[in-house]
Amino acid sequence: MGCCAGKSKAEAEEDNRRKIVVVGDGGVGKTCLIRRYINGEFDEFTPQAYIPSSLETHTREMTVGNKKFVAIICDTGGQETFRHLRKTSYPNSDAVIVCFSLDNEESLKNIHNLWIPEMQKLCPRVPMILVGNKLDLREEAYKPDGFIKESKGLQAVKKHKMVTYLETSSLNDTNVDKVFETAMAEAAKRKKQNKKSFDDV
Amino acid sequence: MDDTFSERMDPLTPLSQQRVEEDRSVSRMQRLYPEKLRDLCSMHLAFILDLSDTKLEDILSDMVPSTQKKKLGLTPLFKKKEKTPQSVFGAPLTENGVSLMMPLIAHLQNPESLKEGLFRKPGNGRKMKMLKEQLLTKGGDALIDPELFGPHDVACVLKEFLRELPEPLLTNKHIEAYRQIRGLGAHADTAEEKGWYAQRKLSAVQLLIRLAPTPVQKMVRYLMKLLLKVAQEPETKMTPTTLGTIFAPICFLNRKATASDMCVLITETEPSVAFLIENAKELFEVPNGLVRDVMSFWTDVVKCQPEDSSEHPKMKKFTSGPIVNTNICYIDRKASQCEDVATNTQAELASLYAHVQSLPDTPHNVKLKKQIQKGTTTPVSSSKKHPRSKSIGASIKKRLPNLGSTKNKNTEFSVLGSASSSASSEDSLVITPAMSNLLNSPTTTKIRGALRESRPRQKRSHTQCGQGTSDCTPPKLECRPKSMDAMALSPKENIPPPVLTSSTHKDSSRMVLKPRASALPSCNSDTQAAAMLQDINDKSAPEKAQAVLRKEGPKRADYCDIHLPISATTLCISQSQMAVAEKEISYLPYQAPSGVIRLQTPERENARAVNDAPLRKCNGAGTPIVRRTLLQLSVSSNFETTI
Repeated sequence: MGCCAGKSKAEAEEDNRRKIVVVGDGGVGKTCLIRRYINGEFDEFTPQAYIPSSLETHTREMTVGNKKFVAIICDTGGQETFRHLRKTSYPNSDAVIVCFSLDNEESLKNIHNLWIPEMQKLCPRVPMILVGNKLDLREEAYKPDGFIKESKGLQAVKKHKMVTYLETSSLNDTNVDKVFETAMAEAAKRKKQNKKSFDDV
Repeated sequence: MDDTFSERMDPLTPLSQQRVEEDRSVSRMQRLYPEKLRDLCSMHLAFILDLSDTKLEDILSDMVPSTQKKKLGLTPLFKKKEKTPQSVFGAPLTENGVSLMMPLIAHLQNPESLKEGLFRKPGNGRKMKMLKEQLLTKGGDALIDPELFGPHDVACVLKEFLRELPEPLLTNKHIEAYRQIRGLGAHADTAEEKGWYAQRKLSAVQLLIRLAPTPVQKMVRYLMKLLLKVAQEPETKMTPTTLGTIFAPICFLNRKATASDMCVLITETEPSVAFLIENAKELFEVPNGLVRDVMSFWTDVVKCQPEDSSEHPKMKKFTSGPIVNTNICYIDRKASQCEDVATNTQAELASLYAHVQSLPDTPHNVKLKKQIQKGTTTPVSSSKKHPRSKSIGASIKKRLPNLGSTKNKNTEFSVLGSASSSASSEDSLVITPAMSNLLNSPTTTKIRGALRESRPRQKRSHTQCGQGTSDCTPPKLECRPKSMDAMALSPKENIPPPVLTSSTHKDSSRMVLKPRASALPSCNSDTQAAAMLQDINDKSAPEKAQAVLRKEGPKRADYCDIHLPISATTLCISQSQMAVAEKEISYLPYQAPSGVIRLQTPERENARAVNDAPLRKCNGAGTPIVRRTLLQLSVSSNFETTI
């Protein structure tokens, strides 16, 4: 029984896999966001937190409705240096989380100029979620002058027809789970296109 | 002017004064004889790394065409640049390109520029474009307005420039060498060992950078200094490792590599870049060995420069010929000191055992393997010691200084040759031609020493040991052809002596040995081989052997090249004798600077047959020889026919 059931189980698992890609400029907090979600920790004071990632994948089981899914979360390197590398992690993704940093205007500009065009080109019609990271910094500041207002994010979402806009803080664990849950909900709506795609990952 | 300079240096300590003097002589050599210095560099590099001939030649040949190309490429590029200024980005690295980047680097070195996440955080795309245009129109004199351009913009333009070079910053050809440097000392356990390897790594990197094209040298020099500064500033939150991740693809990634290659490469090369950054200040210092050679080069030049005539033949020989001299004595004294001779022997025996086991199943080999398994035959090696054998080490040490001198070569050889035919039933020496092949490598001189000692009567009169000569030549290079001859000795009378052919008529002292394997009576050689292998069987059972290999293998990897032949011989010469001999040789006094080995750099055109003695002589690399010999052994029919 074990063997036959295992096979069908594996197939079922294959069907339940959804790939979520996290993109954004270097240093906006992509890796921290993922680590917070996967491991539930934020290592602010360890220097490792500042190591640029090139390409990492994490998996975590999630439940949407009554169905179980396995989320494959791809952490891409924000560095332009890793451009070639990044592009291989795009195909067959089911949802994209586009990140920028609320304390860095450049990162939002790059969303418009670089990231969204790139994603639309390489993964057409993929659901995208816009995420503004480092919310804690804006909340702490006396004057939110140097920071990006929520309205700007919402504008961007409207402009590019993205799914939603969320503001998060990996430090305080604000909205982190919600980001991934929303992404998974969107991904779950899509049918599995190509099973083979995961072998590449 | 030089005088005033040195006078000014007077208040310095003698050490730093010496340092200045050394630096000056190196830069003088760079200026006057760049080819020569390059040869020296590559030779020293070969001492450290295990680069086979072709790889070393790659590094060398990379030099010549690329510099030529640069010269050719400069003009068209310049013309192009006037039309389409974009072309500097994406073009090969030239002096022009480097000078264009200088303002960026200078700007980033300002303390105000050292912001958090420098080189990591992205710049503003529009501003970066503006900055690029400004650079291209104004050239290297461009002033960067700190109001307008943030440090991240500047850093990103610099990164983009480096990223768009058609080949990695440290050049495609050198990547293999850097890969090896990374591997150096990976198995070091103690802090002391690690420090030693770190030093070695640094020297290798220094040499390698010296071999890179000039623009690359410049770029690396300024870039690494900048990165060090960034890494040292806590404000930036960047460490050598994080910078290493970002710069690894820039420095090492082949531009045609696929994404998966890149993923592997980043994790692999990141420590190398971190190493470069950490040692940014020392990168362009000259390694000690090279300094010594350069100094002695100048003393040689001064010596044979009678009256300022640079056309003097001897002078010409020094400055233009392919010959470079070295003072390096590359017996690894420390390593051999630490080495337990017995375990070393066991490991090598084990490797021989493994080799025999892995031979293809020809009838001969099957027989051989059976014999190994059974171990029924009796060993030929006698355990009896000659009464005077205690003094072997001492006397070898006494005599070794003379080994290198060329004038004795012929006499020595003939002596040994005659000794071989007459003597030896009392000796424990069993050397088959195949063994001689195997042993045909640097340090086999030891055998000769031992051999000579064990037959004191026959040849003392001939060998004219110059006890007076104080400077000793390391045995490795000069002695090699002779030692080969020594190996050729066949102890049994019924084995025909090996055929000796003179390789070059000009230099009759170098003899090439061609064992007449087919002429050997098979029964006799069988017993010999069996005896040898019996020895193996006794000393190290397969399991034990494997264990030794496992245990000692990686650690020894670096110097087994030196030891291998010796221990292979130990099969034949009684082990205790050998142990003494080996120990003594390992502690040869450091060579005095005046005693000089002539080394030729590998000739590019004629990669000669492996068996060729002159090539061995030429092979400055030294290290790869044994491996090749082993390889040769495994393919040569010699071994099979003999055994």
